[in-house]
Amino acid sequence: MSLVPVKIRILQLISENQGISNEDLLLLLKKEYTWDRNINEKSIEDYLISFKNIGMIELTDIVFDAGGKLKQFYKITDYGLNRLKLVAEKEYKQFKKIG
Amino acid sequence: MEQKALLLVQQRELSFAKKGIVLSLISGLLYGLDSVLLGMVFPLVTSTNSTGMLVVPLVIACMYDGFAAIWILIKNIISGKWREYGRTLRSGLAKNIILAAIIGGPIGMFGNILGIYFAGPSYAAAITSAYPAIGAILGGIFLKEKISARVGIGVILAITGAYIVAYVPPEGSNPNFYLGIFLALVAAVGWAVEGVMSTYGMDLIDSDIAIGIRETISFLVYLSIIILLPGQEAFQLFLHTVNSQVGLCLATIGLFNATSYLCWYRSMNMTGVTRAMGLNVTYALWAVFFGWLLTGLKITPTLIAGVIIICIGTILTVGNPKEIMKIRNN
Repeated sequence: MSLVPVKIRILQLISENQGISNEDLLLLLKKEYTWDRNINEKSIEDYLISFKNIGMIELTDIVFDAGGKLKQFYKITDYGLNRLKLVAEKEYKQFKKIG
Repeated sequence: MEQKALLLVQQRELSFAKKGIVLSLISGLLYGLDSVLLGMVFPLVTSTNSTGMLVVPLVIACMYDGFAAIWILIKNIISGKWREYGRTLRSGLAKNIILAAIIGGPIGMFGNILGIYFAGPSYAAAITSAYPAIGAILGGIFLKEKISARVGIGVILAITGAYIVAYVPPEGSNPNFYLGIFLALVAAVGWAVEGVMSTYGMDLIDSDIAIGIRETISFLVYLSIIILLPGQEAFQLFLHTVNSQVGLCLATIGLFNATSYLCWYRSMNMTGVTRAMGLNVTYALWAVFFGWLLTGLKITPTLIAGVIIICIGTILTVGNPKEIMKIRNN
């Protein structure tokens, strides 16, 4: 399977798992992008903030996990979904086939 | 939602917005330094050919972007992002970034260089400093970016200041003056379009990869033109310059270029096109400072007035970072 750019993959994962947390996202990405050292808590958080600032995703809930770390839950917006379909149609179809 | 958790999230988002503002300002500072250093290198590259005045800027622009592409690649290898180059080029967004690269690089940057050649540096810089205004309009139309009145006034003041700093009344007559003005305008539009197109692409791809591809494509287009130019003299000049002391100077300047563009692309993604461009235009202020420091540029009352206006414009453009937590009207 040829991987898609990480940011596109994050949006795909949120669109398929509405309400997914940042921690679960990181775990899934680490499994898929095994060799990418840039898949870490900080870089994923930056991607999520930038998605949120431009209105592609929304926060659905925030809690502190058992270890006292911030756990944020996200859902994709209509705008995010449209961009995913329009701008990255090729990747979106590819993902749908695999999924 | 837990109140304490919500506050912590807002704090993180605010710090992200502030980081974007700082990156915009760093991009302007380094671009100002870059411009002064490039101006110092230009006289060191000479061509005996009659078309030398066109070939020299082409060779310098090619090496300037080529070295920047190498530095950015090294940075992306160190940070572990290099695999994203292939993924991005195979994605549906590749054509967006490639087109933005050609519009901002060979068309925009070379338009600027030719504008300087035909109309003189003052007029060219005065015209190209309007690029944030064009970017703000395009960003508003295509990205639906929100622009508050204060930010709008800030951008206009920063552009006015840059215009005052750059403008020097012309001496003598120049038959190609209006061609130069037109080419400088092409550069301003090119950079604005590049910013908006690449920001659209960066919504879904990493900004460090977008700028890496942009510099590489720009370099390859310049190199193709150099190789395809009849007579091979441009290519010979390119090889000679790469293997000279000037090549080393351009490699160093390329590092500043790479850092400036990395900051500019990141800030457009983090704070929006309007703010990032409005703060980047402070390069005119930094060009005056580094010009004074490195080349003995005379500080005139007009320059001081321009610099003060840029500073006021910058403060207004930075505004309230909380506004950046929602950049667009979607």
